[in-house]
Amino acid sequence: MLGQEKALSLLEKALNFSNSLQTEALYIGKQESLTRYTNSVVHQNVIEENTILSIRAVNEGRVGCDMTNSLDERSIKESVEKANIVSKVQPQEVEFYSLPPPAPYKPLEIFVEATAEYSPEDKARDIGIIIRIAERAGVKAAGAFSTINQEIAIASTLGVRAYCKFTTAFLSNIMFDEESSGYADRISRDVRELNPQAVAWEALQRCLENREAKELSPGEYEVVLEEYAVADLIEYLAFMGFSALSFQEGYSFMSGNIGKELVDKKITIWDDGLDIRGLAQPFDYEGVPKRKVELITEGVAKGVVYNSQTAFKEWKLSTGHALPAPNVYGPLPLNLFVKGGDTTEEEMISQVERGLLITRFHYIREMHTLKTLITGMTRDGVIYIENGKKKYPVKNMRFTQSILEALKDVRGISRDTKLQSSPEGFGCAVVPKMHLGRFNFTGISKL
Amino acid sequence: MKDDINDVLNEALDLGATYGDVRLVEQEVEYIQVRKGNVATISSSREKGFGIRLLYNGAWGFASASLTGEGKDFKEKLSKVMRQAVSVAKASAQLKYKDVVLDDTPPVTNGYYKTPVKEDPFKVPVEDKLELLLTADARMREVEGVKVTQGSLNFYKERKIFASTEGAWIEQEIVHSGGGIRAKAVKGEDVQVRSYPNSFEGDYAAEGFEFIRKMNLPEEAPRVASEAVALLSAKQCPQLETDLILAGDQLALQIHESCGHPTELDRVLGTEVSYAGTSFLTLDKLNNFYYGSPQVTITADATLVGGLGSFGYDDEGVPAQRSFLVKEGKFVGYQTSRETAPIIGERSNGCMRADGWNRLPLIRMTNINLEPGDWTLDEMIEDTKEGIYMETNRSWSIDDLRLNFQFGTEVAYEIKDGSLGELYKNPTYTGITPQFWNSCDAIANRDNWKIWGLVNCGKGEPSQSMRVAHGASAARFKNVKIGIWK
Repeated sequence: MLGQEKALSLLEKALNFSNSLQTEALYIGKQESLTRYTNSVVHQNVIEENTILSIRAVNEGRVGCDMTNSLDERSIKESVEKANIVSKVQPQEVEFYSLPPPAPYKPLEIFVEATAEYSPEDKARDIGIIIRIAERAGVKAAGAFSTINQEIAIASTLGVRAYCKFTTAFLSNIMFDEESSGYADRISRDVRELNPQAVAWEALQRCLENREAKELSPGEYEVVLEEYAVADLIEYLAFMGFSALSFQEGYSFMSGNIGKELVDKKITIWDDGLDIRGLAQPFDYEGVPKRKVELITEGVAKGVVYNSQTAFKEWKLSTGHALPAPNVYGPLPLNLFVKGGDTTEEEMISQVERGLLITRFHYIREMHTLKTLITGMTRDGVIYIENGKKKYPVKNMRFTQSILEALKDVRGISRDTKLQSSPEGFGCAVVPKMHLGRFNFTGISKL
Repeated sequence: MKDDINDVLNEALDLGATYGDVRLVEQEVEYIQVRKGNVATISSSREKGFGIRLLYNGAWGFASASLTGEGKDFKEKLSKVMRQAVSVAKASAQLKYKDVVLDDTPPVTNGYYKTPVKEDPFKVPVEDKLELLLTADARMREVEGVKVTQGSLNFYKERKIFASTEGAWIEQEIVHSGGGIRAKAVKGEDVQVRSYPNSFEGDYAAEGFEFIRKMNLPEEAPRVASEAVALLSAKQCPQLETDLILAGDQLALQIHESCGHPTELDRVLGTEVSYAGTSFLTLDKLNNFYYGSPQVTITADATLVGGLGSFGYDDEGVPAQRSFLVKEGKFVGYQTSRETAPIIGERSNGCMRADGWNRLPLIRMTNINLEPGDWTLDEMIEDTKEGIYMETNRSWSIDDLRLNFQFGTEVAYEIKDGSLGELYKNPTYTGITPQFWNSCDAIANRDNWKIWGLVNCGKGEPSQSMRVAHGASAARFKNVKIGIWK
């Protein structure tokens, strides 16, 4: 980790080597420590320190990118020259207008010393707490505990100078035995908020509740989705349709639908990279300050997120959603929020006639992006509900469902929301639990 | 450098480590993408670093760092990271059940391997690569109704040194080339895609630029675009149970998900419980379970020429091997490592790889292949009274035990009375792994057999993306549920 002064001075050096019309230099420094445990022992334990210097050179609308993780003067110069050369060999002008101009950003308190200093020994102690709870209950524990310190600096010949540093701590836990499993996780900027004991008890409760699972016939059921499952759906929805790139190219469900009612009025989704209830970050990977973007408000399509390129195409301002160059996905909303409702999980369950309480999904893949059709499996806790009461756990089921169709019949949304960063998803999402009226299950998992 | 590495490995032993290895890795990547007639991305990257893995008090520790410069700084950094690995191992040892024991694979003290390459892809001028892609792109855009066209090339070079406290010293240079084109057609609420030679931005091989030239991208472009447009007006794939013939490109992913992953012994032993899941192929099933029909023989073969899973030695220094996973339908083997193989009374079959210097090696697929049968594809179709033929993956999903899967393909054709018939869009099929493979009654011969490269195999935390391959020819499966859609 270089710190603000050294990082920006490194980027100045890179810019000084450039003779391109426009040049942008991005530096990312990262220290990560991760401990994995399974069968109640630590089996993988790693630490990593890495740096990335990424150069984007622009010459008459033609762009070249180069990356290196060596920060000595020779490597920096080589990287700048390579970006410059590949930008100039292109045969024609591309649809690239300009790098973004500088804009002031609001610094955020997102670096937590306690997270930065959390050692493998500290993690082993916390995992020990989880393992002891598992052993007392006669089950096994598995999961991962990571802490990351990261810094990002961006400078461009147009005058952009931006720097931030932040920490992230993530703890996941599966309690399992031969016939059952339960899952829980927490993510935060502050490792002290993870609460390993609470994570262990949450997963254990699901594991115990999930024993002696029965097979249930595929078909259409109501569902009450825990936050893990809601985040999976919302992050996939965002990936399939909230980027200005897919919107402009016509294969987003938002294309041609702005102002139209797409889902239930109870659904409001926005992206806000400055809200510290999520994993906030002051600016994107072009140094453009993050802006709050309404995506769907009370069921109505409102907008998509932009980076500088897609914004220039519509003569709009970037909303601060660029990913590191080069990227083929276009801009993406990485700090999603879904508005909470006025109920609780218990109240939602009490309203279910015939349905399933679902902890989380597994291996979701899109089948048709315009129809937002996806398939995937349930995992680590599914309970059958009948006439407002939990009846019995059921074996994992496959679903094949359009997300937008599912969100057209929302029967309840929890008051409380939770920050999720799903291994299945992209970025993070602050989401409530949801009761949906119809969800299509197309298969079961059995040998 | 060799002296520095060996000095630090000896220092690790002096500190009490019982085993240690160093992987020094340099990677170079070039990626070019054109989109709708424009150059969307030209990028290159170079990465250099090292990872040290060691056993201390019977537990693993791993630490890694990027690398700038050599000489005195290199040795100091190596020593510092080695000490970090020791402290990580000490933390691991607080929560261990028993000491890690490695198999007795003898160390290779002077190993060398280089991918056979005719035309170094990094020496081919960028201008030539762009011309190839832009020509193919222009030909796709000539087809009316195409909305988005895309083409890409991807080149990868890795130089690595492996050294261990057991005396191993291995140097390797791996080169991969890949690329492909894709056309997307949109009409109303429908979007249809056609790719060539495969989805996932094409096909990849451990070859040089000669592999790209053989693809004939500009020649194939009009067909690819026309098929994308034709799919918009094709009938929806019907929902029924019928005989299914899968082309080799789709079968490659079927092998990957339903045989490759569940035969990784670390996954079977629970090391991926918290992320990707486990496997239905538990230890009691080894040599005691019929995974498929007698036609089905599946191998793990890192010695094949041209596969992304081809190398000289894995990242534990174990020589590349060919071994059977499924032999004439019977489940007979796992992919293993030096730590896991002794658990089933074997030596490692050389499947440990990391996707970079900063990642711990895990059991990863090499080239996992469905061995060819003796049918021609034409004979297989002629022999099918009613069925469906599917080609080129579009979606894929499988449960955490690798049992229930559902795949979608870009295109399908009805088979009626031994001939290909109507074009179908949005084809999908689903099944349970052993039931599906036991329903396999015909596999096409070596003329139809090809190694397909995949560069996006995810596993582990922190996530690793591995380059693997699958040899496959078309095969037929009886009574498969198709057309799942809502």
